[in-house]
Amino acid sequence: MEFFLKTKLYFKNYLKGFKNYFRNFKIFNHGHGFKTILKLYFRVYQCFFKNSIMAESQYRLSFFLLIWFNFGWALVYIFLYVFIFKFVDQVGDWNYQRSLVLAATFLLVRALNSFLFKQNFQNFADLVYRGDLDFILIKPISSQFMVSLKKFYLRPFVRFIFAWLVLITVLVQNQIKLNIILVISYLLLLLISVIIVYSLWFISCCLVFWLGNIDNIHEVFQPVLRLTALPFDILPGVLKELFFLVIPLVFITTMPAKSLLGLLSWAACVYGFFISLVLFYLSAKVWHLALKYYVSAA
Amino acid sequence: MGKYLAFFKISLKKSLAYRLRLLVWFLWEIGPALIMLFFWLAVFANQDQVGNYNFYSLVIYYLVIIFARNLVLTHPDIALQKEIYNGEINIYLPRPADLITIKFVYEIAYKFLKFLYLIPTLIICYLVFLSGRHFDYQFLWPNLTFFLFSCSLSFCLYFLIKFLIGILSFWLTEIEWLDSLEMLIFWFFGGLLLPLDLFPKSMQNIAGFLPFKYIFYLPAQGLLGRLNQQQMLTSLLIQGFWLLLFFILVKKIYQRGLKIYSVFGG
Repeated sequence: MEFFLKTKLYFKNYLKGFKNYFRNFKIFNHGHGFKTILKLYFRVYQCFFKNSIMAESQYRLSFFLLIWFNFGWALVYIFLYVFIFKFVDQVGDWNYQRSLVLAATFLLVRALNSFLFKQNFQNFADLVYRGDLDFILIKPISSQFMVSLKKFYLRPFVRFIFAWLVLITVLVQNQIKLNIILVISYLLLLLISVIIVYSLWFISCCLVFWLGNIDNIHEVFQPVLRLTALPFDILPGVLKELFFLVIPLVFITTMPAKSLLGLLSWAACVYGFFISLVLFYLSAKVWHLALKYYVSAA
Repeated sequence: MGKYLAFFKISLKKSLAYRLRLLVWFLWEIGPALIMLFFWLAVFANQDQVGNYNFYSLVIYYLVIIFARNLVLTHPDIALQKEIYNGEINIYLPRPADLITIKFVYEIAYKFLKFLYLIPTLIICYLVFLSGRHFDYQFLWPNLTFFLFSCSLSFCLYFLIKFLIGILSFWLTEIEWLDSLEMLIFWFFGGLLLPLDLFPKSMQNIAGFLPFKYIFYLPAQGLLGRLNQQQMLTSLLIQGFWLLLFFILVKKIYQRGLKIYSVFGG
């Protein structure tokens, strides 16, 4: 009972804190309103995008080739399912067509996440270890925003288009019926998936504050992300529950694919939305905690 | 011999200093094979056979992949590119052994530590996927000998392929695309995700003309007892041919590269 009352009080104070923050938004943001701040961030984000294009155009031939090799990796995943289903009829509830929807969704999710975060997280360990984080912390902008979104990785561009083409082809060829609600729920779940991937990936990168010089810390999350190429329903019992409730990997690929196929309940969607917010909040908390352990290099 | 032992010790100490970094790469290497194992576990709930494979032969195949990916695959190319680009390669040039040998000894020491991570992983995989189930795998010493010998050749061969990509930095500033191309071809034709005999015939034919089939796929087939003595010998000979070819290529290109290499400042 005491625990319950304490938790209630904690949340009450927390909500009050939120309310006060929004009430005093202008004071906290040097007299700017919410809209102005949003516009400012958008303009900064636009600059980041322009800079990324300029950086990639430094080695144009290499960039051009890497776009196509990146597309080649997409082919690996699609061919994998094509070859396997020559020998297999069904894996759990997943037949050939459904598996291709899953594979295309996986490619979409990976392309989106690589596009938005990969380059930033690749530099994460260096920022902390070399002390370059100082230059970000002194800027009048959210440090988490700048650390996470400063650079775009433009190479998955063709892969992204290819994934949509595969998805549309499978849906049309197999006459899978769609309606506007399924499409919207698919897009929303893709968004949820991006938030979950970002949060988990970001939290895993933050470990560098405690573990020291691990320049490949951003790769810790890669095997986990690759695991999402599997339909999670086929995993043994305990793992299935674990990846649904505790580490919600199931929402990264399986749930969006299921939603498009009309196999998903609304309760699961709501839970996905809720858990993505919790993880995003947690990522911000971990970042603030990690900054307390940042010692710089000078 | 003493100087090589010294290089070995240096690399071992370096690997020990960055053991968590090594663990991350280790997880990265075992990830895809583990994912496929869970996938096949679900597939074999409904059927007993996939192509020529039953569940146990596929599990052994992927355990071999986990073993070989960690002990055979080397990546000297990225470090070489940086060293050539920044002029750090100078450090190696006055040393009493050539760069190829030094990097080779470094890689052996690196694998030594990875082996320590590998043992518990293989035991856990065995307990999860094979223990308590009856399977008709017959363990034979000639197969194991072939496997170990072939894996040793694979290690040298793959090292030379990667080294070749690395030293192309003498001419190219950016080699990431070459590395990516090599990995892509390897994943398609090396049997990393699926055993090659589950691929269409046309792709198997293409794989026959490339060295990648001999790095993982054929050693694994040998261990599974799917190759007769004649096939084992042929496989080793072809592997030896690729090894010799890449060795000559690396030697020639490295010598030419050194001639055009220049660095400024102290």
